[in-house]
Amino acid sequence: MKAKRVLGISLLAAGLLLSALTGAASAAEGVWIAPDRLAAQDRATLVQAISVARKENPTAFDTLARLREDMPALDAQKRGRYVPVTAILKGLGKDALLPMLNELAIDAKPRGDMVDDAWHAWRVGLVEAVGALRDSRAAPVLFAILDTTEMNTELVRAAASALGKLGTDAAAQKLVAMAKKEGPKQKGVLAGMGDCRRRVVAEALASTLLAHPDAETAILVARSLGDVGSAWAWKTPIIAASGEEEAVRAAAAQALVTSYLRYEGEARTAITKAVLMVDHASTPTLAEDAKRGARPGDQAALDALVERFKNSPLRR
Amino acid sequence: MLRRWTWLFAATLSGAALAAGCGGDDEDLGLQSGPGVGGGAGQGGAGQGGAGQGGGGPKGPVDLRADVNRNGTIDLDDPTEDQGEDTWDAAHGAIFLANVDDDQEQCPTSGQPDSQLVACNDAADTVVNGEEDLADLARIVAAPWPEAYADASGTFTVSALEQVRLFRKSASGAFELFDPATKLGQADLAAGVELAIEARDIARDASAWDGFVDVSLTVTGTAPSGTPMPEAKDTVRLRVAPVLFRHHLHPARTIYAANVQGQSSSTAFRNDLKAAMQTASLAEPLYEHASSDQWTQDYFETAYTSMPAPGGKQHVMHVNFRSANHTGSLRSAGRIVFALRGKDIAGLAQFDPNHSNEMDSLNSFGNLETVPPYTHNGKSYPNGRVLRGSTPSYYPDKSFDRMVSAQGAQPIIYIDTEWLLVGHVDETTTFVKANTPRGWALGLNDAALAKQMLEEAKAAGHGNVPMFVGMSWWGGSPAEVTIDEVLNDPDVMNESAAAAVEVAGQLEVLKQETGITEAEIIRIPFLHQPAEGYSVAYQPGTVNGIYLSDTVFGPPKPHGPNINGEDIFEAQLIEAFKPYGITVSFIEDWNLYHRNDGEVHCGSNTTRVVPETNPWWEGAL
Repeated sequence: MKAKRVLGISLLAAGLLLSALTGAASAAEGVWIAPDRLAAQDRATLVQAISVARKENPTAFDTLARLREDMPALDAQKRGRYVPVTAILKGLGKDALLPMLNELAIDAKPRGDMVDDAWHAWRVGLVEAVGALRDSRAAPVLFAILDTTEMNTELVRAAASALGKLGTDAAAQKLVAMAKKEGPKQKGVLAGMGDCRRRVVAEALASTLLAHPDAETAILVARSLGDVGSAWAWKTPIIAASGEEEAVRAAAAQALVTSYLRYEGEARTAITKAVLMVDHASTPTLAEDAKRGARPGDQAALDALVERFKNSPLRR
Repeated sequence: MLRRWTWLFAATLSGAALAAGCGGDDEDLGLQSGPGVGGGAGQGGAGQGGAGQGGGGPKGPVDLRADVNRNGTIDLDDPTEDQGEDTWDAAHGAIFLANVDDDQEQCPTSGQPDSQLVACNDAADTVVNGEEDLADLARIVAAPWPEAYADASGTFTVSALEQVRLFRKSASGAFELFDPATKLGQADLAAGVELAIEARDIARDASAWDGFVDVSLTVTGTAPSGTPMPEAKDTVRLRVAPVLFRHHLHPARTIYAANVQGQSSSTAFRNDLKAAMQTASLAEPLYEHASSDQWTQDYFETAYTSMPAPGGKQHVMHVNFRSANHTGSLRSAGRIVFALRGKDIAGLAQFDPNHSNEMDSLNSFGNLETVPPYTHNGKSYPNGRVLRGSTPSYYPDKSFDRMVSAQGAQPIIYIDTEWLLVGHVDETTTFVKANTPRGWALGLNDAALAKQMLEEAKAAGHGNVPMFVGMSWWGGSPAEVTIDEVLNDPDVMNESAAAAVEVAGQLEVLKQETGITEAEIIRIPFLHQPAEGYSVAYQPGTVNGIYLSDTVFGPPKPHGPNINGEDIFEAQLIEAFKPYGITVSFIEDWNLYHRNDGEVHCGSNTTRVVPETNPWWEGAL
């Protein structure tokens, strides 16, 4: 869902073309980066780990290679935009981590004649699946991927999300720094960083939305705030472990409700959905605060927001 | 003399034609005899001829008639056939068909370019292709004017002439292509003229053609006294019948599923589907077509069009649309519409080859369902409304939606499906018949209910119970996962929360457009997971089932956790549908459909019975 809106159609087309031109992996390169994009020590450690894993569990490498071979067929058979590579790879479990890191950064089969959609799905799926494993061994690769020259917003979004899922201080700081830097990667980072459920990220996103960006950016940021403050995600032990739930969700709710009246149309809809995702108890109070001095029509809009909050689809 | 023209053959539900109920010599009507026309009062018979009403018969030098009163005949003596004949509304007005079927089954089903395949139909030529083709044509009659003056001259004019074709009945009884510019002489006018009309196509774009055609006859001449007669003109308005998409209140007749050869999972799917069909007591066997494209729902959509037939019946033409899936070329599996084409069955397509490839998933017909009929805020939708996923930035082929709108019968409701990887309305919604004032209920995905069920199971000490037992993901990786693991998966939980919020947004639209209430919603639980930045069903999407009869729904087998001897998701569905008198017949679809982002509905298709009562033109719910 985070790809929604990020995927500006023309941008995607341009991005896919760029990816096709720049992403065609030659021998001893990953589908995202070449090994030399990793620090020497990180590269050596990873190569060694991959070598050991290949000996201990060759099946995992074979399975990934077979999936890569099957991509054209899966793409031809797919229902919808892309082959659900992320879900498929997630199904392979933790054993797939090192084969996937190898594919991402060390040694991947070249793109060959894989069509745009299949190639896009393969690259996005690999990085998303690695992120979903939340394994610190992936950190050097995910940092390096985010530093590539890849400019396609959706691909940057996937990379930012994957790095963010590590949840480390370093990952959070990296994302916050990149989100502040204007440029072609900024929107992708803003769209993906909500999966890094850390206070510093929530505050950066909140600050961005409160600065009243254009509607397109506001939609991206609102969705990321919904992710970072996601009530259901925070119920899972791995996310709750940071102990930052209250601070994160409160910051997200405050920025969202405060910004609600500043936008109309799709941006307001996105903010509304994010408010529901965050589902923070402060929402009615924040709305009451926002009503003070608001025009009657705006007050009614805030009342409608509170009504939707009270009837949240997240609570039964 | 029975003054009634009968031209339509009554259609049985299976599409087979019966003999015309009032055929035979009636078709001659004594038009050649001249005298006596207009004296039909009291001769109508069968209550269709205006008996006893007087004054309804042909009058004057020009009296153009069509089946304005929609009883399937042209009644020269019935004033209701004449009144308001130049207007068209819900209560009256003549109807004709787009003659786009292939009654003699002469069109190729394959082996030609798509453009040629779709161009072939009975309206593509300038001849009437036999009696069955003739039955698809509506009649227009210029009543005899026995006293036609010696120099009398008549001329037809036809609006939207490029959209229609006229045929004239000759002395031999055959219908031959008729050029409306042809001058009618004294003999023609005296004897009367019988025309048959077909639309060359359905209405595609209301801005180009709204589906109406006005046929006028203008007569001039000189009376025996030498006085030029005032120009006499009569006009009838006809409307091409709209093509209507099926809704679930119409009983299922034919079920389709692809036979994906060499795939045991396809066999298993079809076997379960057949068993469910048997439970639903469907008479027709499953239509199994060999195809490597297992998404049978997506590449064609069943519809129908109809016009009045004698005896209060409809003359029905089934219409199968090929999907507008076009990414460089049309989706090849969609050629099934040409294999299905035949007598009273058309195969059509509507697409813009320049539409965005990135949005092409929305052109699959899993993204076209029909909300059943209803009335809301004083407005009735007797044929229901088409339901599609579309947003301002992510939308299906606009030419197709223009075509739907041009039918003027099933205004489209758009909901947001952009957040879904596949983007189809059948991923979150379905409709079932209900014994309620509305007559139907909405089946709706409810991720919160799924989460609640798992949390309750966990709280009861079943957190370590596995789900998806024995199932595998791609490559044979075991799919088995415990309740605890699912509830602890932040990505599944986050995406499910997002799905719950998005579905709530869809429901808001449906409430606004239909007035449906919470009490009319069947909550169908399953969780979502992220994929490529979008959302897709994590558990089998049990809303995405096939509605086989008023009493049988066939969802995918959920493979939920088995607690105390029952799959809690199966049990929930069984109970949820029970108040509606619906039995749930689970269908195994994991391997071929679920793990490829689709479910039972995506893998099947349905032709539904066109009810004999409440035809579309009566506008009754």
